[in-house]
Amino acid sequence: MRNAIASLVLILTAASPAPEARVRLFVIVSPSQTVTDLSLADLRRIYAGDMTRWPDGHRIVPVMPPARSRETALFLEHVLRTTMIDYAQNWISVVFRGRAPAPPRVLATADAIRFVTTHADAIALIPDPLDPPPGVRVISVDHRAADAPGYPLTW
Amino acid sequence: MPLRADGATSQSLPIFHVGGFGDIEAHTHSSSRREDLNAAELDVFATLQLSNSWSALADAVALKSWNTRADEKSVEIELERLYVEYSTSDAFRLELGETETGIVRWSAREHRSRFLQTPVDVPAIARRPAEDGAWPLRFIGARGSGRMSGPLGLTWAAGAGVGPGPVREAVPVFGGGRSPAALLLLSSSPESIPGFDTGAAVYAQEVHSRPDRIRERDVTLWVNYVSHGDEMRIEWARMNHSLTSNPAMFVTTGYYALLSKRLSGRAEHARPYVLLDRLRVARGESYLGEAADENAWAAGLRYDVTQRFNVKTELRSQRSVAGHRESVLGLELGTSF
Repeated sequence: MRNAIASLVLILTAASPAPEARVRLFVIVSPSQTVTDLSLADLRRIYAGDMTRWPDGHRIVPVMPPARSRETALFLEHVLRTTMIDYAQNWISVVFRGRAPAPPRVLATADAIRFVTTHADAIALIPDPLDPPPGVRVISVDHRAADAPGYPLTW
Repeated sequence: MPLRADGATSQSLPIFHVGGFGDIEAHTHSSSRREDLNAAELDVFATLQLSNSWSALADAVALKSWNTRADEKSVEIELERLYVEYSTSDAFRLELGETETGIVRWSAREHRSRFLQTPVDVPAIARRPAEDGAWPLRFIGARGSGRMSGPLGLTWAAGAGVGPGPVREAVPVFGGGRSPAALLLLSSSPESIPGFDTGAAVYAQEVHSRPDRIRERDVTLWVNYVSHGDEMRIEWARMNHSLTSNPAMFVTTGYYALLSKRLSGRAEHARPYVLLDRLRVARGESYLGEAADENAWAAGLRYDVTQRFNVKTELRSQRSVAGHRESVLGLELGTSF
């Protein structure tokens, strides 16, 4: 009987889909950027086109993760609280109102890192890197470092 | 709209950008006494980033409308905005030139293009004077605006210049028809309620018409909530006109309420909506000319085929000028480029 139950548990465990891995987004900027922390509200404003300037007055260049990635879907849902269609059309409106130029969008995380290394005013979101990428600086969100408990960009 | 990062490695100034919107609308009335109205609109705008602080924007609209049963066609070309902007922070930006008053939230500033707005038709209080609208949506002068830091997410705008003259479609800068105007706007988007936005705007103007000058005082209140695909927009507006030589007061009021929801899953391209649209034009108000009362509701569906192309269909029930209720079926194809 015990063997039968153990076998059943083993079968059920094997048949159930593996839980999706947690996603943690790192916020990266150029090392020359003086900002070391952003509130979640400001991050939302930056990616909604409502906040367009760094404290030094330079224009913020926000870079989104690849469009069809899970990171983008989670960021849109939990931070911007919008859908991909509405996000894209909001930026059409932002550009049309003269508030900011259209933001760059990348095809791969490596492109986002490369963009930030070459643009002092860029900001990008990248999934949990195995090693801190060279040439960029990771900043905290709501005064929580990316590896701290309660980091808000973890789902 | 977003660019490919690998194609945007150069940030050398100046940066020039041209974009626009196009749409075709068709309307058919239930009343045989009304002509079916069709229209095609092309809105082209250009931005020029001259430096980190200075930029310029130009925006023009070409509108062609025609009736199906009569041989009446018209083409209008209108300069909507033309200004230079100075800005060094989000706390302060200054626009100089022809720009939006902002007295109606659902105005050209937010929803100039019908591609961006959810329903087919523009609510009555947000129509341009050229579309028989009542409120002054554009003016020429200086307009400052900015966002204050803090959890309330306060934004402000203030401006002074000249507004629409004796002919409401035009904003005279020189000559006797020049009409001084001023505006003030305050809104709040609290951090604790993402997607929520409420505010008020006031606008004052003296229209140098003949034989009497008109003193105009407008106030608008609005509440918006846009989050997780849900959209709620409610706005109420009041316009007071008084003559300098006459104690009579003309009061025009209107409001709209829009509710829509983006569906989820496979239906995420669809956004059904309902719109309530009211306008009561002051009786005996000759300055507002062709502006007419509106008492309508509409239900429709916006379908975003792609991020840059959509189809909208709408059934609108409205009270006609003669007083009876009529239905209008509308169809719109819109694109952004």
